[in-house]
Amino acid sequence: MLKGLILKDIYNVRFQIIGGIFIMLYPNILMWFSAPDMESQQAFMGMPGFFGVFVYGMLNYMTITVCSSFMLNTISDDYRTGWAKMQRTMPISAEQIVGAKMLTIVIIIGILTSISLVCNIIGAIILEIRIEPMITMPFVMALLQIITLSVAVVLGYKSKARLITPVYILMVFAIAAVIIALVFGVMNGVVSVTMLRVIAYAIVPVIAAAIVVICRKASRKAVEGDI
Amino acid sequence: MRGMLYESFLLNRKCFFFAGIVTAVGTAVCAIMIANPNRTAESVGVAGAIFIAVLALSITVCSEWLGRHLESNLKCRFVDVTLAGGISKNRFVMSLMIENLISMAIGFLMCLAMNGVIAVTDKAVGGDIPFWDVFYIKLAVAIALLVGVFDYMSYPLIIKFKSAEKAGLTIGVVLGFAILLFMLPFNWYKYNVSEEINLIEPLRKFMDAPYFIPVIIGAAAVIYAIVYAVLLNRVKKGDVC
Repeated sequence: MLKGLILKDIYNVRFQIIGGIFIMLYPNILMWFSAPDMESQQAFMGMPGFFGVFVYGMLNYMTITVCSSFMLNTISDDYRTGWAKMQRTMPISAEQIVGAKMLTIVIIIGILTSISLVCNIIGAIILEIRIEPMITMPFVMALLQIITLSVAVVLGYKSKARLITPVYILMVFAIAAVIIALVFGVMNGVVSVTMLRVIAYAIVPVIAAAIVVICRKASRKAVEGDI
Repeated sequence: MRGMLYESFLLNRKCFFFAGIVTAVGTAVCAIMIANPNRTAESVGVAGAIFIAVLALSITVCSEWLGRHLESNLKCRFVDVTLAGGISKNRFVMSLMIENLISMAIGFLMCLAMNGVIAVTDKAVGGDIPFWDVFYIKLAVAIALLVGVFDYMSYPLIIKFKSAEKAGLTIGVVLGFAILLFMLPFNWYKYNVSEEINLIEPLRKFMDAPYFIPVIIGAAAVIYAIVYAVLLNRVKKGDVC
């Protein structure tokens, strides 16, 4: 049953995911052919390697965010078509329903992260950018997007998909604001590279794991209560 | 047709409300950055970039409902009911175009209001940045027409896919890769043959020219006419829903 639910969701958004992959490739191809501009911008910013990392960081965040946001459509589609009620009459537990949804989100974000990682590594080689941030950034952006989508899934189930879009947009902007604040912190010397590593390797994964567990429990209660 | 327009705008008035909020917040952020007594050339530059981004965002949010509204009308068969109820196919397609143009006009007016507030703020603090310059008004007109044209171009695809999201994605991918195919040879030429080639200067000169607005309105009118003909042809074929 779980496999069926996962395949149902992936089948529902397959066109959008393929289109999303093309959208991811487009800015990366542009970047690969802008090597001389990248070198002059790095000289302008006075921080060797920073400009490329900054641009790729925002690119990873935007592409993973945009291309995985289609997963939220599956929740609104479930309510619109009546599948949300129909599936409760089948021998599927609320745990399986919520687990399948979250697993699908992780699978799709995993695919998008792998593509971002490959594009980042190619970009790091062509544009001579430091490899460590280029490998770390897709995973961090993926974890941030998992946090955003988990919260949106809970609110989607609680509000029957009415609150998904506004909450999702607010969370995306909030996380983008935090990322930009960190970037300005690095530029002004307030945030050190060690602090960035602690945030990326420790704080973000722990917060993501905690939020996924909490959201999964909350979603299960919402689905169980929605008869 | 008036009833159809009323129905569309009344059902989707929240979009304009949200666009107003976005414009107001963007205006407030730019105004605060410009009115800051410790402002520097860098912070004014950032305010200018935010200003242009919010211009584009307000117009985009104002037009965000168009594709989804057509999709929902197709899925609930309202389009079939409307066409069977005596509305001519010409009138139906014309109403789609008028919805598009009115949404763009509302977005443009929000941009003008934002422009005015920031120009007044800048003057009040004794600044000399020409926010009420014709350049920004021309930019708002260009962005409004561009967004309107892209939205209108997606209508035949919305009828085909029965999904605004898929239609918008297809348009985005096709246009994106078309621009890429244009930029790659240009980049190659710039870095391997002659660095003197530049797209920004001619674009800036074109925007400063007095014929800029008539040319872009004319180009937009041609695209609107072509898409109108394609849409009318599709609706006349029948079986739209």
